[in-house]
Amino acid sequence: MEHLFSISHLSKSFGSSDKRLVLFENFNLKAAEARVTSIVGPTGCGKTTLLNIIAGIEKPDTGKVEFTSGSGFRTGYMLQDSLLLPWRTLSENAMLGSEIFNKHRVKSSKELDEYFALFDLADSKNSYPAVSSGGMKRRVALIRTLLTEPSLLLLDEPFVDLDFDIRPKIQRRLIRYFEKRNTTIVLVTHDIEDAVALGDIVIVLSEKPTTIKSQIKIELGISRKDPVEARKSPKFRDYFVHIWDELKYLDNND
Amino acid sequence: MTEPKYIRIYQLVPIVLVLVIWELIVRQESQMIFFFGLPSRIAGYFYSKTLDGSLLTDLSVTMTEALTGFILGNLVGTLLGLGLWYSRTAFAISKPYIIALGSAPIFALSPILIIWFGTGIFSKIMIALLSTVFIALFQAYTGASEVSNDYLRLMKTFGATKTQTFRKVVAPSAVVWVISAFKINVGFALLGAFIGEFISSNRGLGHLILVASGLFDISLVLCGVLLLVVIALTLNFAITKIEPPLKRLIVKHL
Repeated sequence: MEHLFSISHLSKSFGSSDKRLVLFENFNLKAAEARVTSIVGPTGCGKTTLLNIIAGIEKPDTGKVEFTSGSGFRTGYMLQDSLLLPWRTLSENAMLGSEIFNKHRVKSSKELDEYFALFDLADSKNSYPAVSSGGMKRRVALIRTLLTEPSLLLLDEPFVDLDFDIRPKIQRRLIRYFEKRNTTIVLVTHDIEDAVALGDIVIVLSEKPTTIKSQIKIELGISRKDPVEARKSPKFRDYFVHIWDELKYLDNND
Repeated sequence: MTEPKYIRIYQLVPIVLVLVIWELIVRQESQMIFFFGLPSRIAGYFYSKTLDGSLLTDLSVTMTEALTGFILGNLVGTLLGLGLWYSRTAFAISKPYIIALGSAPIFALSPILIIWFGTGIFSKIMIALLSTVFIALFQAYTGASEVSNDYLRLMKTFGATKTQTFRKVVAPSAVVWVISAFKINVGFALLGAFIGEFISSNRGLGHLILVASGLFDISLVLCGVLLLVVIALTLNFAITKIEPPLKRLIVKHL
């Protein structure tokens, strides 16, 4: 499997010299092409900073991120908050990213309609964010990122606002969509179930200074990637327990 | 929000009551008219001066001065204020001057402006302009710099240029601040035109009020004041009317 990007000898710290918060020191990571890489880790271990660095929003202190693909490569980054602009309708919000990428080519309304239908938002195209639920805003933020047609998609807790009934449905559609397009996904999440159900590989990060604690290949034995089927798989629980133990979310005393 | 019809009718009650009591009391004592004027005489002036055309001339002169100064002052101030968003250094250098000039009573400079720009309409426009421009500048800059960092980060994830960020996020979110500058400035522009006329002029409502108070004709003074109020209300009403289309214009076409 080809590597789409690799991070080598990364270090990053915040704060002044006397109160330095070291996040990464000599951190290395390789992400495989056309794969979903889930990243889980304890709170404050620098998951979001890692995505920021991959996306090029933040500069690492040392080390570098290298991309193997050449032309037409585009990173899409979905932030942890939906961040819809309140003065735009939902459909206008969805267009924001593609407006910036293609100054002249505005997405056809047909394409936009398809996306809104795909995410069960067809009736709310012209609503404003102020009257929309958190889950709706989250889906619009997702469409906004998808419309930029990224080859590498960085997702930071993308499903947090989605209610449980709609979450697997959205995930299933998302995975099918990306399989068609050979998009590589890096998914950062707190939710171990999501990480296992969606990821081909789950990377467990340690407390800071952050290193990779373990890389777990997920093989659930189902032919097609399906987050719903994945959850039903008998192996699902084993992976869940394994990652839970790795993470030690809870102290032994609790 | 629309009020029920009876509220509108009841709203008229206090003013009618005041006018009737005023009229009745002043009619008891003929000396009182010297101090307080007479509602019926105000109406009489209004009627006769409208017929001979002088009231319309005064009204339109003051309106022209105030409106021209208002538009130019807000335009220049808003453009400069938004422009300063582009350069933190430029803002840092100009900040003390903006604050000093913004808090200086520009009206105190009116006599000098009359000397510089003559006793005609131009000097009044300049007074109105100068008394509005710094408020517009400060509001526009504040609006632009108060844009949430999250939105700026969002624009970064799409790789937006500074100009794109300005058009898509900064300008639309500064609109509210700019509009509120308009509302504050209606009063200042009108006051600027009025003070200019009061110092030196041969036309306008300021001139009318100056002459009438020289003659101790309180009713005529109040007639002029009433028309100033009418101008202020008209401008305020116009601003509430242009607010929604202005917002739409900025969101759609920037």
